[in-house]
Amino acid sequence: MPFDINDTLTFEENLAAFVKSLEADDAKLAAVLAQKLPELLKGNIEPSDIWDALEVGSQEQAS
Amino acid sequence: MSGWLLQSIEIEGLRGINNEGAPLMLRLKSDCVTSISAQNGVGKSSIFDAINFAIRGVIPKLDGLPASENGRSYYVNRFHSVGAGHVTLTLIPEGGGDPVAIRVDCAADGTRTVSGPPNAEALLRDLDREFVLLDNKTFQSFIDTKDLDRGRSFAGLLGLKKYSDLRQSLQALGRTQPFNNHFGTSVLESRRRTGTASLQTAQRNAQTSFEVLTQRKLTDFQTHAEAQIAAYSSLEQIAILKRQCTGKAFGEIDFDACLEEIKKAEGGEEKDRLAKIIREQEAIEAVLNADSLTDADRDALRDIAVRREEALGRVGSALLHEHLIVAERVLSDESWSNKNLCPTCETENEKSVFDKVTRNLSAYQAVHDLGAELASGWSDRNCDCLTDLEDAAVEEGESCPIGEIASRVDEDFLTAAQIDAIWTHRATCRGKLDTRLKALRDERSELEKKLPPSYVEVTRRVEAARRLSEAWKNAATAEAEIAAVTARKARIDKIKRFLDGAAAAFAGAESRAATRRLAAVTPICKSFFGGIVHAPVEPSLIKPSGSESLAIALAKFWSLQDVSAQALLSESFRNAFAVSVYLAAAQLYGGDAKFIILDDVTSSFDAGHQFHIMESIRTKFARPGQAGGPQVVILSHDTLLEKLFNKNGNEPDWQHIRLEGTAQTAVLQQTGAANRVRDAAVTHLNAGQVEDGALRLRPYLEYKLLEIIGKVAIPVPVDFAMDDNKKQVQNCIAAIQAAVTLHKAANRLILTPQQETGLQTHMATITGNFLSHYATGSTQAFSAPSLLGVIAAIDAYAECFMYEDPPGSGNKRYYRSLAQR
Repeated sequence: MPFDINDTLTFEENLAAFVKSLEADDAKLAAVLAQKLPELLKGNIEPSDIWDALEVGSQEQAS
Repeated sequence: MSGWLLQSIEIEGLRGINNEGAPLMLRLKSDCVTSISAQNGVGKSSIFDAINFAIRGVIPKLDGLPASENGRSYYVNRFHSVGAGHVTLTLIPEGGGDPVAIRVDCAADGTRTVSGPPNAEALLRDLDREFVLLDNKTFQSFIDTKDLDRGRSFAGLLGLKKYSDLRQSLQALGRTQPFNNHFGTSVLESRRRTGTASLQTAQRNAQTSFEVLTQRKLTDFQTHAEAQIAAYSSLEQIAILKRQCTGKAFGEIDFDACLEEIKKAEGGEEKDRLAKIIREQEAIEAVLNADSLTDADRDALRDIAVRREEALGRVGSALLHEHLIVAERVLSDESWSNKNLCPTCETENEKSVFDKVTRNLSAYQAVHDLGAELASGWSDRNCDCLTDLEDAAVEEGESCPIGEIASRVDEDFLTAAQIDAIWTHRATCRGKLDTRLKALRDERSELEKKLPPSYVEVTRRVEAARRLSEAWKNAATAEAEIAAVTARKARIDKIKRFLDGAAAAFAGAESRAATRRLAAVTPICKSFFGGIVHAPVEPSLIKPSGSESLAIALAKFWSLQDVSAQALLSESFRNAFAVSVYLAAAQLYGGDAKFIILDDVTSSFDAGHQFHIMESIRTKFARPGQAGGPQVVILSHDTLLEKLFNKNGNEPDWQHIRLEGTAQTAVLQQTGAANRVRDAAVTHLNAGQVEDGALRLRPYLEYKLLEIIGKVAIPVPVDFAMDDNKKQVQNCIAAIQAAVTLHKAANRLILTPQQETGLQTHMATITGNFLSHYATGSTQAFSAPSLLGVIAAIDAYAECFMYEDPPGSGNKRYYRSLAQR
């Protein structure tokens, strides 16, 4: 089932559910997004910070 | 707690609200609809601007001015002596609780500083919803804008702004060019190509050397280990080399030591020389053989270079490129809704500036692509072999043009002229090497005739073994490089696929949520619209599946069906359409902001429809008519509406406030406006707070003088309103005195002799005890008793322009003019 926004939940709860749904694709990368996306949305970090974190995540997975 | 209501708004020094030392304080009843009315120019829209500034940090109408006007410098009230303003919003939780005051200060340059509780900034961000501040421009824009822009702004109305931001962030993360730039995929690709070329060269060299050493083909062996054993055996079976080979792997054999063994066995310098000749000869042959380039290769590279140079001629400088990239970012941002408006010169074009910028950027992209094609063509043809060719050919101290050009091939890009130069130099180098090779072969031939044939052959095999060992090491290094690059590329590709998948999944979810929420909004929108227009006209909102666009239409227009809203609706009905959409969306998806400020949204409506829209707001939308509905504050200058407001103001669910004043002095609520400043000054002075009292004295004096001028119809010079505000009091006094003098000379002055005398004595008190010190900044000369005397003198001065009506009643009225009651 594709992810769908639940109108009874807050944005933060929907965001958490969305990244949870990505675990089926790649749990490690989904965990990185779960941690970093809220920071990106607040403007505290740049896309490059997420890309770096995703690469670290993918390396940990490979090792 | 489910939202915030507005309890009060305090403003000083912003836009048309000076109120220096005595801020405009609007106390709102959160369980009422509040109407605030004033004549034009009194500062009603300044309230709207001040709240906009508090919540969003901007005042769009000023930001939209040409840069030369410096719109932000007009955020503050230009008459305020300090040149700084503030607005304080006091909010109360909808479900009950302590009020929260957030103060937002505005510096002279428009800089915003927020103070209050620790979460003040976050709270203001949560209040920043599309429907909180609505004016006519917003509604007109909603109707007139393109479907895509409307759809994007509508995401916010449907409470999907954060979701839309997230979708855009995910799409930005997966955007190919910045993603590839970050991960250096072009560098990786270049490393892969170089590694592949090095591997091919090493394998070719290994094949040749292996055949010389073993007299067999490398391809005869299934595995590298078997080939290594065969190579080792070939050396180890030579008796004089056995000692150097025993106990070592092929790669560990010291080939110089092997040559020493041959030299010792033969005992001659000529043998040593032969080995050197063989080594040099085979090295030259290797670089010549590695260069398999043809004129066709040159022509192909040249063609790409020419096309790139032509493409380069169609674009501007690197600086312009950077400018276009920034412009594209601005234009593609949601907040830049008008894509025909140039973000640099703010000129509105007939065609899309965004499309033009995109086209120009694609020209830069063409240059970039051809540059990449050129670099790829260079690597794929193994043109780096030319640097080896050049290194072998040039003597010490000679220039190496090929090496210099090739070292910058990835950053500077080859030109057609450079390619021609490389090919010319290549021919020179090959000629030199051919000459050198011929000399070596001749010398070798002479030496081989002198030396025993067996040792000549052994030396040849040792040199072949040396080259084979080196080639295998180079091949191993190249394979390791290719493997590392391939592994990293695989990780990067996986991240890209992951991000693309995430962005697509979320975009789909957002689109479905928008469709779902739109379906909920539509019937409420129709109900509001019907309640306002009272005509057989039915609006419709259409969102194509999977698209961000939102189209508007009319499902019914009298007897017509499914027709264009923009084409058929009058201005007032278009506004009614937009009002209905915004109110419906706010009712369902309001979020934390439980209040709405409407600024002159009814100006296009006739009296009847104004009444309908107010009734719709009151009964179908706002609290308390709708329990849990938003708190509505209506700003208006409309005299027809004011009558309605006055009537409604007597009802328990409606609060009406009327403002008066000027941008130069103060904006205050009508009831006792001037008296409030006076009372505040008296309170401060009685408490010994001389500075605070003096601050309020000047606006009070200005207010009273302007009141006299207005009420008694005293003529003023044409530049009166525009003159330096610091001279305002003097200008008022001068205008009044001139008018009195003129009427006196004409024998038409209505003032009594006592009043004429009073004018002089009271003004002497005002000037001597206040104005003369205020003008020079000698405020230390003020004392509370003397300033209290000044307040009494101001009141007495104003009374010189009044008469008792009826006589003996104590009820004072201003003369109609200086000539009549």
